[in-house]
Amino acid sequence: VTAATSLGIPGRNLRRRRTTDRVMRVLLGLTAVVAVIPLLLVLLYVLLQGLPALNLALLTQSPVPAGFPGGGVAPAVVGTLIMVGLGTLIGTPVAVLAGIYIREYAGGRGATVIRFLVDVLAGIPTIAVGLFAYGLVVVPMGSFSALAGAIALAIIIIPIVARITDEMLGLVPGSVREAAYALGIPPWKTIVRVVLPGAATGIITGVLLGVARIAGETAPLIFTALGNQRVTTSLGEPMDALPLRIWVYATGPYDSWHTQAWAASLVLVFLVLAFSILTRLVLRRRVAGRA
Amino acid sequence: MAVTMVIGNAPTISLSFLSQGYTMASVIANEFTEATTDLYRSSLIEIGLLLLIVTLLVNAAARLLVWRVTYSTGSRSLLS
Repeated sequence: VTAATSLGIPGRNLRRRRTTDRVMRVLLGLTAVVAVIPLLLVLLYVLLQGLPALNLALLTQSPVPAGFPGGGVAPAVVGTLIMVGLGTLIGTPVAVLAGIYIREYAGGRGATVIRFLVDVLAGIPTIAVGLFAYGLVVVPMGSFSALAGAIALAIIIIPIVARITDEMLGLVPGSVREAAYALGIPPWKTIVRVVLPGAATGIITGVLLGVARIAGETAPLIFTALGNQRVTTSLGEPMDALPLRIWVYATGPYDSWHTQAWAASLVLVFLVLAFSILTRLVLRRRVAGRA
Repeated sequence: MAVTMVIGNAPTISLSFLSQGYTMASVIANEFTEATTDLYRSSLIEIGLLLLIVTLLVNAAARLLVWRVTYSTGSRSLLS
């Protein structure tokens, strides 16, 4: 193929090229639709199956033995809030600082190596993270605990937030940093007062992504938090979590369990959704207030 | 976990896509809480280690591929 034909001379084969363009456009549009279909189907199905079983008792009561009417997943709701919250609190500072180090301090080769390692950490199956937390916390402490679950979740959120922080800091123009240096501001203060605020929205979006991700994790909690039939807020005790409860109920043999699993799935989806929307609203208000 | 719920969890090797199977992660998830002896627990953690090594290799291969494509052709503008 010569350069002239590959570039295309205006006027020649114009109709054929226009047709090709249109066909490809439609095909690409279709692939976008196909990519969104699973999301819609999952949401719709969870809504259809979960809404009939959703009631106040589900959110306020503890599980009852199978076969008895009523009961709920209150321990799981409380447990998810506590462990996801604590995991995020532990993981986010580490992740943001790691992201800052990679982008601002590590330098070419160092940054490449750390990025690779962080990507590997992000790719580790979450069940292996659970095993690690089991060995790190459960064995020395001698019991399953919410703390072990939170630490496992923190390990999962770290690479997600670290990489996004890294990318977001990279989007802050170098000229902004140079302007700060020109005013005699030291590098560390430039990062804290100039670069970080510029990237804050993106970093917070990354944290939200991470929270949504760990809120749905079952595997790292099976042998760290273990699950609990009662509401507990003690970090030293086994604790329930929504994905854990859904897993137990969905794979169990009772119809009443299956309906509650659907309802619990709906609660989990809406919990994550509500949290994301709330954070965005608060963020928007703060940004608007500053301007 | 999503896979564990639908794959059937049968400890057999089958060449058919339509028969039941098992994944490494599913084995650990299903059996770890039942592992009563040290050997049993160690075996499951060994599966975890293998899983980790597989992940590492896949990640390294992916990174290598990206580097190859980015630097050897010398036409980065086509990719970005």
